[in-house]
Order: sequence, then structure tokens, then C-alpha cells
Amino acid sequence: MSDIQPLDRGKELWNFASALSRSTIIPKAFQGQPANCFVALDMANRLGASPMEIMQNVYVVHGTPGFSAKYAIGMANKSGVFKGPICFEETGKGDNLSVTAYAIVRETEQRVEFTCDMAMARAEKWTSNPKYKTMPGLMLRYRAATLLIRTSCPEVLLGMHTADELEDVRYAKAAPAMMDDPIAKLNASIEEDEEPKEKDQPEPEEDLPPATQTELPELQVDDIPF
Amino acid sequence: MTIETPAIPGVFRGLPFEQYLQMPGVSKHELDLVSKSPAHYQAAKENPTEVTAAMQFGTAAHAWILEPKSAPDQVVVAPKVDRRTKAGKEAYAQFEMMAGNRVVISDEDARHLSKMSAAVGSHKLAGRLINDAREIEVSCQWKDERTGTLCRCRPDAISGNFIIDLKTTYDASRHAFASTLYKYRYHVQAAYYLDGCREAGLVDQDAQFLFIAVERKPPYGVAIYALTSEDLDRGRFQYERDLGRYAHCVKTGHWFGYTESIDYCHLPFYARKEIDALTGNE
Repeated sequence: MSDIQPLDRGKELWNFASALSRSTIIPKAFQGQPANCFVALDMANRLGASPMEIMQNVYVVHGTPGFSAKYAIGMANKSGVFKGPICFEETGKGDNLSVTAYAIVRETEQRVEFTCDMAMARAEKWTSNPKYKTMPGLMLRYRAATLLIRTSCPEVLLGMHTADELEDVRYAKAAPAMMDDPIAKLNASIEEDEEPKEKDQPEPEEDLPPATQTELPELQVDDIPF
Repeated sequence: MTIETPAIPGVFRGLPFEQYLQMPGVSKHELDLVSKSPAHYQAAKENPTEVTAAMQFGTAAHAWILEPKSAPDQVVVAPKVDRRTKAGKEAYAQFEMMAGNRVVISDEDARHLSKMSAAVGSHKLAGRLINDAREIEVSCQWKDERTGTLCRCRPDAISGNFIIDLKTTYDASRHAFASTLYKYRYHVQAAYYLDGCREAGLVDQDAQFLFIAVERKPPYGVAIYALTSEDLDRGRFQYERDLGRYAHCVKTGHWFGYTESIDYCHLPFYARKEIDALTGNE
């Protein structure tokens, strides 16, 4: 149940949004932005959530609002559609990592699931988002859960995307241009080189020069008497 | 063994630099002269300039960094002798005999070169690009379709689909390099080399041109710069204009100098802007 009762009339809602926008303890995207607050109030009304909860969990990614994935999962868990929370199964590692989000539908006792793996992430070009390198498990969990919600109880998201989805799509759209640019590829290869590699050999005891260090020729003239 | 100076389009490997200079194609450096005035080009042809210490250092740096194994055949370090004394003079004369045609550099320059070479070698991308180079100082000639002029270039290295040019400089920062880029028309070089190497089949159509700039003094900073397609187009516009002018001079046999009419000479744009800001005439 919302902390603030729904307001039927647009004018009253606008006045409320204007007052809310003057607050300094709401997220920056809403401060001094009565129109943004108006949208948040409308969403709060429809979701039965508090305006503050909505404002804290809506992110604007390049002009498009989206919920955080963890908030979407929380809303789905709270909605009562599922019996118990959304759970995850993780298999494989590295390029073979796969995550299944699943839940039991309360009414039918049917198990519903959605699997996202790195192959899908690569094919959809989500992996252009660097977070798939640093925390692939978490990213796949968010994507699998979001898609499970979108396919099993879309009403929970009010047709909104999650911020993570929007980020991935943004990276995926940018990817073709980036990957076609040989300079960008070359620069990306530095980042790949910098990734820590598994050590299967003991560290050498002596400091060795870098592998790419050019051997310097001996150019001194030794056979001339000076 | 003397390698014949080729007068046809193509790729020529193992050609000594002196031989490359004798090739009939027009080089980017010659286009720089034509751009100043065809008379300057003609004068330089008739009166080859003396090799300066800076040019020798550049040659030595290229040999040392790009071809370290064969560098001793091209570069030699001058001994530290007092050439005011008889013994010193004799020792230096003996050294000069031994040095032959090799580039002579000072002991101090050799120390700088060692550090520069190490800096390039340990730079993540520069070291890799040079180590992986598939061509080093390959010469090529191609025919400019528009004017029918035979052109030539000699990229320092070709690594993958990247044409590499090594530049030694006192300041490799982006701001300083941008100014050098314009002053020495490196953007013209990039466009000219790219088009020539594509024409000669040395690289693909989507090849890129990279400058590896290495500082001549500590900390021997290394930076790699690429040009935007807009700047490459600017370079292409300039070299095409220069080639047109060159072809016209060849046809007419008239290598003209500066214009004989009175021309307005403007203050540089930045200077005008600065002064106008003070006078309020912006």
C-alpha cells in the first residue's frame, strides 16, 4: 500500500510533484524537476509503492528510465505471483558460464525459468559492457531474472526496462561501430592483456626484462685504440 | 651489389635508403617543397642539403629502434677523444675509416637512444606493434591516377594492417604533437602513405596510419597517435593539390616561385583572436 494516497486529479498531482521536487533529500534526477516527480508519483500510484521508493529505484540511462534489476526482482518477489522468491542456478565457468533464474508460480505450482549464458551475452553483444568481464555471474543473474519476470509476470515491470538492460542495449548498439574501428580494437587489446591470468608456473626469482623489451645492440667501437 | 633504381610501380624490399632516395617517384618530403613553391623543390633537387646532426640522430634512432639487429651496420658511436691533440686526431681518423658510410653519433646520443629504444620496447602497444612488424622500411612506388605521376614512400614499419611511422621529438604530448603535425605536414604524410601502400597492395583498404612519438630526453615518453578520417581527408586534399602543381610544372617546365603580386599576409588565426579579445573587436 502506498504511503501517499493516489491522487485522481492531474492538477493536484502536479502540485504535489512541484512540492516534492523542492526537496533536497530525493535523488538528484528529481530535484528541481517537477515533471520527473510527476512521473514517479504516477508510477507509485500504479504500483502501490511509495514515491520515495520509486525515485530511489528508477535510473535514467541516456534519457530512458528503467528500474534497477534488484528492485524488479524485489517487486516480483513481493507481488505474490511466485511461491517463494526467484532463485538461481549457476553452471560452468568463464566463457561457459550459464545462469538460470527460476521460480514456482503460486497458482499452478509450475516451475518457470529463464536461462542466460555467456554465449547469449556475446551474441547479443551485451559483453561490450565491461561489467560482463568484472562480474559476469551477477550480470547474468540480473538478465535471467529480468527476462523471467518479463515472460512470467510482465505486469510487475509496468512495461519498463531495467537499467541493466538499457545499459546492455546501449553497449550493444555502440559495439558494431567500436569493433569496426581497428584503433579501438588495438586499445581494447591492452585491457585484455591487463586481465590477471591464472598462474600455472612459479614466479621467477630474478627480475626479468619485459617480454617486449627490445634487445639493444652493442654499438661501441672496442677495437680502436684511444 | 648494386640494386637498380626501379622506375616502375611496385614494392621493393631490401632497398638501402640511399637507393630509395634515387627512385624517380615523388616523395612526401618533395611534395612539402612543392607546396612551399616549385622553385624550392627544384633548388633542393639541384643542391642537395647537407645532412644535419638532427637528421643523423633520426636515422640512428630508426635503425636502433626498428632494426636493432642490423643497427651496428648502419650506426656507430664516435669515440671520446680530444681531437685537438695529435693522438686524438689520429685515433679519430682511424675511427672514421672504420666507420665508413655508417651514421656517426656521439656517446651521449647513444645513451639516449638506448633509453628511447627501451621505452618503445616496453610500451604496451608500441613494443608489440614493432615486434610484430611484417615489413620494416619497405619502399614502394605507385602511379597517381589523376596526374599520372609516379609517387614513392617508405613506411618505417607495417604491423598487421597498421602503417607505423616513428617520430623522435622533444615533446610527445598530444598538444605539442598536434602542432608538429601541422608544421611538418604529418597529416599529408599519413594520407599519402596510406593511399600509396593501399595502391601497392601492402595493406588493405581499411588500414590505419599510426605515429609512434618517442621523446629524446628523460623520461623518454612514448605516445601513439592516429588521425581522424577528417584530418586524413585534409592531408589527402593537400597532397592531391601538390601533385597537381608538380605535374603542371613537369609539363610546362616552369618551376615558379612565390607570387610576384602583392599579397596580404595575415596574422595567424590564434594571434588575431587573442588581440581582438583585448580590443573587444571579436
